[in-house]
Amino acid sequence: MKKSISVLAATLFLLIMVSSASAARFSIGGFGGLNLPIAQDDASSGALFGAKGRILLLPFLGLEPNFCFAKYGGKDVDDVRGKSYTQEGGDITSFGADLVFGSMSSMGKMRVYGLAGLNSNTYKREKLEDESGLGVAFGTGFEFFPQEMLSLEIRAKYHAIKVGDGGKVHLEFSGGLNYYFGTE
Amino acid sequence: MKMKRRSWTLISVALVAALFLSGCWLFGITLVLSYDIDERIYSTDESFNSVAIDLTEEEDWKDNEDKLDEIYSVLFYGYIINHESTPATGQLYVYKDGSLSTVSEVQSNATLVLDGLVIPADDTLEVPLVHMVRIDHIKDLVMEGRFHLYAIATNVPFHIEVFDATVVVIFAVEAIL
Repeated sequence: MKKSISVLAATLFLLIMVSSASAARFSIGGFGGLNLPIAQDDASSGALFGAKGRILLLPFLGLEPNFCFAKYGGKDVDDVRGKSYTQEGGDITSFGADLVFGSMSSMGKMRVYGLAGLNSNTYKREKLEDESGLGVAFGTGFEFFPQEMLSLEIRAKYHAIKVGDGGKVHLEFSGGLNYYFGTE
Repeated sequence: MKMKRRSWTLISVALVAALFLSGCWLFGITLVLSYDIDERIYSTDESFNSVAIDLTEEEDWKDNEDKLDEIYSVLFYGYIINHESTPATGQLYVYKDGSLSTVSEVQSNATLVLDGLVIPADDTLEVPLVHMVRIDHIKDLVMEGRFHLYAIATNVPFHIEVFDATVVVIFAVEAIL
């Protein structure tokens, strides 16, 4: 696990260093939304929030280092001798980077993009040991610029996390604000 | 324009390759299975029985036996009676079979999964649904679907009885694409 985190950190660092030479425009922003588990009988939907930056590497490609805290809602375990117990869903802290591809440097007021990324995750549940695992994310987003330096964004992201030999999968729906620095 | 197309193609190929190389955890499913234990455990410091848990009888388990990826958690629910006139501190152990016949054999060979279950003298304790500990030690056993549950107490003499117990298993299966 430490190895994968190191590889991820090194990759991130390299990409940021490479991009810093050419990137004239970057943004920082925050987001919040809904975390929807897919096919998980032990968890229900919860809230998520996080922060991210975006560095434009090429006119059609950006890199987004990101941090996200996502909570799973509790889920009832029914039919335990006729009783129902609510299990705590746990939460996931993740950090990583997404590649964002689309018309990133367009001066238009609206952008639609796709994204794919890798992240490192820690899955925490009460009274159980924390589990860490690599994750992958795919998604799409829509960004609207009411002002040149400010954008509103909504996105949907499929996020799969390796927990032990199994996988935890959820959909993340979020909305956020980004503030841009520099010129295109 | 050509460069754009080439980059999109490269990204797409990389994504598809990553998907297939990463394995089926990308589409993992988590299931919860409740298994009611019909038998009672009668346990004293001199003799006791264990109860067999056979998950392979359960439909959800049968349907997914060949696709099991991971055991996330095992939980226990049940009642424990203390037949002695002194309080007892109950413990639950998991072992591969019912061959253990002394308290010391259980303590040295089986895996302690629940501890500190304090039952007042001549009274009954309802153990709410709680996570078993040391899951990593019993994961392989649970994956096989068959194991035994033992109950003893740390104080001597003891005379306890476990009844209306349920084991809940939370496990991951791979989704077939």
